[in-house]
Amino acid sequence: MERKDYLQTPVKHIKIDGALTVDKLMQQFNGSGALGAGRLATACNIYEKMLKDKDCTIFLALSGAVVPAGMRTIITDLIRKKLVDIIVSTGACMVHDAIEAVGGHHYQGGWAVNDQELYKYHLFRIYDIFVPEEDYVRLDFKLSEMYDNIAAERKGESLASNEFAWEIGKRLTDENSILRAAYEENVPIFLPAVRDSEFGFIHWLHSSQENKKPVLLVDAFKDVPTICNICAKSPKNGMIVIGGGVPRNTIQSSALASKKGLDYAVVITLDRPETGGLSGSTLEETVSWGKMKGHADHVMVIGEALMVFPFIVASVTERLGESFRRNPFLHFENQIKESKP
Amino acid sequence: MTDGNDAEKYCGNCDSHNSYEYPIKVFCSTRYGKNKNPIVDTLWHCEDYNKVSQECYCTREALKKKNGDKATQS
Repeated sequence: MERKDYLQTPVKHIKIDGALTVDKLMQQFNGSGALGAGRLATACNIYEKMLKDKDCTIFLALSGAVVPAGMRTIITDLIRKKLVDIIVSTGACMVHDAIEAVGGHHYQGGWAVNDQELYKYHLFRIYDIFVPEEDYVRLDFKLSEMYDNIAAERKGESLASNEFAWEIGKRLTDENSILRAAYEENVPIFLPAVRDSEFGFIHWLHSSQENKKPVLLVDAFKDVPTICNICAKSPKNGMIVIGGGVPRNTIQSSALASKKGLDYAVVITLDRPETGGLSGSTLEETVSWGKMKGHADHVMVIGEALMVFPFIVASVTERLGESFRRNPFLHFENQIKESKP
Repeated sequence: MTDGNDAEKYCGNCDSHNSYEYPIKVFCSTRYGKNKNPIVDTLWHCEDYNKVSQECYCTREALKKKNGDKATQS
């Protein structure tokens, strides 16, 4: 690099006028190109590029309080509008989706509260969000019935986690549910850590009932060839990560195992790289593993996802316009729907 | 089956309970395991009662509601 190469694009000052839409503000951020605003604008540009790339399969990784904090409808709409192709989620994110699908709620609360008192009232706290225990328990009761039903249909055959997600989605009726939308739209949801959620712990209750048979069997290893084949068949792969953890690693490792490497990556996180943990690891580090291509379009937005992700979606959908229709490169057959109407 | 002589013997004081319809109904994991209806009154109890206090307000609030309802009726 020569000295002049470092001085190509001056920072433009952000101008706020009275008729500023989300995307117009994002264009102002893009003109600044600095700090968090610059990263956020870059994330929008990369997501737009992914959506316009006819060869790209878009993975969305979900972790943390996506649903409790209020982003459930955003995810459901992305699925229904075909603006994401594959979801890889913690079990917990989908548990919270299912809680609302069966009539439960998450409540605005606070973080400076008496947690011992919350415990006595059977209320759970997710930072400044409250969830009543009965909303979990009502889901548990319904899930146990679903597990009985699925196990009876499967007759001892195990399910991959993505099949499990569609089976649950099939049995929910809430149109705003992520699981229901994914089932209806044939969007796979992989739950690589499904056991580490209420889905897993209710399995204990389901399987420990007297004379219980058949028992629902979920085989996490069954997911691996499926998700790796998706990466392999898709000419390009992109990921958007909310948080990190197991969902991010699953996408990245699938890209590596399929010898493709990611072509696009947007990661929204507050985690730091110094711990050596995956959630905060830089995308440059990802390149060293071969999980992302060295020339991939990528950015890490350091921020809290509830403030960041809605801006990205609002900005990009605004610039694409109402008439934008995306035809995903890959289409998935839903055997669960077809074989058991 | 509620033993009127032992007011402490309530599902709301049993280690098997979780909130189901706070504060009047609880989910009993022991009954669920035995294929019995797991949704029972907070102020009920059965032969499997096992007092390991969760230090929760279920019983207190259920009694308050019951007494409040009685007062309203009278």
